[in-house]
Amino acid sequence: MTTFVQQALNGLTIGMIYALIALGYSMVYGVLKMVNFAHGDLCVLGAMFSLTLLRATGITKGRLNIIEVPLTGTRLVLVLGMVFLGGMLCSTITSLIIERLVYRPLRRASILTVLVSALGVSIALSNAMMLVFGREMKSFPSLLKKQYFTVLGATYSNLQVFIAILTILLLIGLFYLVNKTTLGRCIRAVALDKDMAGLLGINVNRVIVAVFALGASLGAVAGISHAMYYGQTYYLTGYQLMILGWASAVIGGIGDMRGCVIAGLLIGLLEAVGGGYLPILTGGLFGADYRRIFVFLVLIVTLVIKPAGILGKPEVIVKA
Amino acid sequence: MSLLRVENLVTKYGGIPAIKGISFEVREGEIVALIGANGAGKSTTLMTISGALKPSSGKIIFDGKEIQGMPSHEIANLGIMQCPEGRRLFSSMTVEENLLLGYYSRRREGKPGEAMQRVFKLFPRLEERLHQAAGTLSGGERQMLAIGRALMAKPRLLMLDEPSLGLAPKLVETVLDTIKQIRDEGVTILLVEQNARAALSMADRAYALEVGNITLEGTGQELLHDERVIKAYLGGR
Repeated sequence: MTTFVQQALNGLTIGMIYALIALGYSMVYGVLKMVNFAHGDLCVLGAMFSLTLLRATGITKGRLNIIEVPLTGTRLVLVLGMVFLGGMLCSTITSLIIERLVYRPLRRASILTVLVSALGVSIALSNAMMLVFGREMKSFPSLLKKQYFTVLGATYSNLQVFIAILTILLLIGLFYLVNKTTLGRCIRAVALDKDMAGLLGINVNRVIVAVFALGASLGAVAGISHAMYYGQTYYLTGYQLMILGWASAVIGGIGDMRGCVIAGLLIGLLEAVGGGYLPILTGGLFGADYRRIFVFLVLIVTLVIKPAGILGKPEVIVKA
Repeated sequence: MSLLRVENLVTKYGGIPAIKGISFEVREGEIVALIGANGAGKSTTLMTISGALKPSSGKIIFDGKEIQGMPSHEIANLGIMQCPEGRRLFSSMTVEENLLLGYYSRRREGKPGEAMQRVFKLFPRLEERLHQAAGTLSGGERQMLAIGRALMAKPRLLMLDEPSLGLAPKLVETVLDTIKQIRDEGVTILLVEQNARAALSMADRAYALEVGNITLEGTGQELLHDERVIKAYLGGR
């Protein structure tokens, strides 16, 4: 029982990160009907850049990025603000440059051209990160002074609480923005019918830029949370995040934001709970390294039973 | 004074001209009808004026300003609204959201309440359906919403593409009456219709379009009684 609760709590934390990543995929897919494969790398870029900020400001020291004076009070808030806002800004700017230089000229190109270009951008971006930030695995500080709570016998850390609160606040903000504001209405209108949106006076390019900015910002938060949670970041992590984020978006119903959140949490849970029990159930034959099996099993089952995803509508897939 | 003047407009679809150098004008406060068979280039003409299609040559002058080739959102912000063929409602969004999107180009001029009330006065049904998804409306209600959405922008020129298409005869009459009412409120109207009789009977002036060329022009009544029009479009003897 304790194992289950523990793995479920861990799974929810990582699931929230996947949900944030999946939303970036889903929103871009919604307006452009394309898969922005570079999104995973943009998430990592956020983490890489904020680590650079931490080093440049002397908050962390040495190759292990140790914080010598524990951060508390206002200082903690300011550092967290710098880390997250800095990372978001860096990912957003990069994302907008990619949109302008690569995706916009390909707006009317065939879907395959766009797909291959997006993969190319992903490879270019991860290699650029390798050149700029280095090829080694980097340790990333959790920034919070470690504290633990006991929930039903399982351990829950203050970092997990922090990630949960941050994600929930972002989700509330995002759903409010998309459902209740003028920008949100424009985003939905552009996703449904770009030409008609233009006829009503909506600058479609500007809306698309806003979507890329939103996606990259959420992605940076996810990337930084991921780095804080695992205590490390690596220029190739984006590939992993891309697979899991994209799988969540597809399982949830690409283009459907609620579906993405549900699927992200589901995948995080499956991965953690499944990974936790796998060695026990197979007598150690399969270790937790095989946890991704569950993700792809669910992906395959979803594609067979309900190709449009948990909450997706079939016609969206047909239009793609 | 002419609010809209089109001069020698040519628009191509994949290299083939769909309109071949047409010229016409719409004066302030008029209802002008473009009639013609399927494929004559009526919709292409409207799409080119609204910027959804780019002309390959010719001029479009709106309120003294050349607008050909401008992006569609800028043209919309000048006060030209198009109700395209097939209504093109945002069907998963509510009636209210569709109307609010129509108000987009006026969003800096304050709250949409007054514009909304004007639309409700013309189409009380929309107020009853305010929180319903646009996709669940009946055909007539959809047409009302499409026109209502365009009116939210308080357009100077309203371009209607086949507003009677797919409506029951009784509804056609209601919609046409509404169009006259909208004109009486000071909105200039450019109307495209296959239902030539209905269009001509209400139009101040009209143009007949045939495979990309304007072949006839005159007042609505003149064209309504023109032998060639009767033969070609009114199914007459």
